[in-house]
Amino acid sequence: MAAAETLSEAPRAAARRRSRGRRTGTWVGVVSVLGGLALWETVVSLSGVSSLILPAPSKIVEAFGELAASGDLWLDLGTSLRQFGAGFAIAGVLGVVFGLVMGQARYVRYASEPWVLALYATPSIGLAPLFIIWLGFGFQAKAFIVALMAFFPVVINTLSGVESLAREWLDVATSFKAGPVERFLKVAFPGALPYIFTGLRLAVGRGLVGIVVADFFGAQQGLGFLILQGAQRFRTTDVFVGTILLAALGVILTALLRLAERKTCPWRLDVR
Amino acid sequence: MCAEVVVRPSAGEPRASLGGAGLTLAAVGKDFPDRSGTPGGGLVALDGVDLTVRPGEFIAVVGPSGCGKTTLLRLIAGMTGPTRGSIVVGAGEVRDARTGFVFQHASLYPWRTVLQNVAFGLELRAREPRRSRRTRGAVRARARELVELVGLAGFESYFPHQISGGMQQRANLARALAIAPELLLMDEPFSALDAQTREELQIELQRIAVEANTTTVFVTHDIGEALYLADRVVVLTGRPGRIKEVLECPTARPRSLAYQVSEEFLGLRDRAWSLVHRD
Repeated sequence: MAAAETLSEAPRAAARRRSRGRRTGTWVGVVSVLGGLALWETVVSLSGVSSLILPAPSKIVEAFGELAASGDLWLDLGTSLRQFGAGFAIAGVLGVVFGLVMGQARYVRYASEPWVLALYATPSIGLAPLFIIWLGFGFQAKAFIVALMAFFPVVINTLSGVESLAREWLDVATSFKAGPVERFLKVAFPGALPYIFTGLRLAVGRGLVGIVVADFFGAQQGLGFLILQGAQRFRTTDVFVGTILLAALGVILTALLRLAERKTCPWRLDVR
Repeated sequence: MCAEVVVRPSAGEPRASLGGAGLTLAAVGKDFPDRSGTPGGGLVALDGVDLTVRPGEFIAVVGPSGCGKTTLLRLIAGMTGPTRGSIVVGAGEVRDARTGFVFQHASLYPWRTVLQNVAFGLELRAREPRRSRRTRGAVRARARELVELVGLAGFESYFPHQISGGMQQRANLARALAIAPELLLMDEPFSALDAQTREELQIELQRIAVEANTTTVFVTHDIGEALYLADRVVVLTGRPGRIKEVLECPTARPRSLAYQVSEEFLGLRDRAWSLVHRD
């Protein structure tokens, strides 16, 4: 079919253009970050500011090496990752299921919406001490705080995903006499998937905040603990190591989610 | 109720291939309540609609916009219930009937490829309660047949946004036909297409309708399209929607383009036009 070739050519060319654009974007980003670090290094060494106040990037790298060699860093990172992973998984699954149910069942939504909105607006981090009283200083409390932080963006975005479903999509399911579970799995979920991914990406940031704050209220290990202890012992470089690791985690997790989105929502590639 | 389903002689596959089901509407009416809740302030969309459609017949419904054409179609599809009267498909009720619906536009699932869209109805329990019969292979094989029937072979793995509007409507038609519907319901399926593509699809639909041999109800605001495609054309009046007249187009389907300049066609068109525009 001749038409097939002409049709498939256009999206492919567009994809090539986009991938070229993405590559350029990556390079500009890398140059920007390296330039910023170089500027930081220069300013610190020229001004002679104490490394207690603002350590130069080279000092931070040095501290990173020491922490890594002693093994403490990996313990902290591993602990935080486990807590984050457990909390995020719980928040993701519950958030998606709950958001889909809220979007499909009117009365569930009426009943739960005030709670969700109120709890989302609550600075729930302020309740962290309460959860520590309830659940102790261990893994459970930390994972719970992460889950609580990450849950709301997932629910709210899943819900708006269900709301954004085209009326025709649901009409088609109705006209084929699809059952409620089928509507759920074959229409609501795939239709809301792009929104769900947005929710998950937002949840990464909030979950990482949860990790740090939970550590601040008492921990023997973890990236938040590393930061807190660094500040208390005037090892400012450790504070930076912890913070930069958290930022890197955020970037990596977000990138992984984007990758997963691209794999599971191939139809959105040409739209973007 | 249950007994009725069991004794239905034509339930299942053979019926569709034998030419779809008959359809009987008796004194059908549909009201939409006023949103503000004022008593008696609602809208009577349809009133006293009586219509008997023979198995395998192609019926077109025309009328001014807002006359309840789409409401009529949604009632027949069982997507909403009538306020008055009854609708019978074959020997059973609407909610047991297998209906294929083609919407005006934008109703393909963007996350499914053409083949997966066509397979949608086949994957559902309503179509085939036995899971063993809903295997991936069986569903795909059937979907592939339909993709071929509507002339989309080679485009199976395309997503809807990658194909033209005309091709999207072909895929829509294939999706509706895949479940071997007792009733094929089409709601202005070609109205969003350009004139040339519309004409092309009208010719295709003639061929496919004869080949699939199902009962079809086709809603349109285009009188010429209705007369060209249908065995009978139902003319509705607006507010409340009532049947004003039913026009017979005796020439056998499929019809060539030349039918559109035949005396029969032109005479019927003038008649229909004056009926639609009289009020």
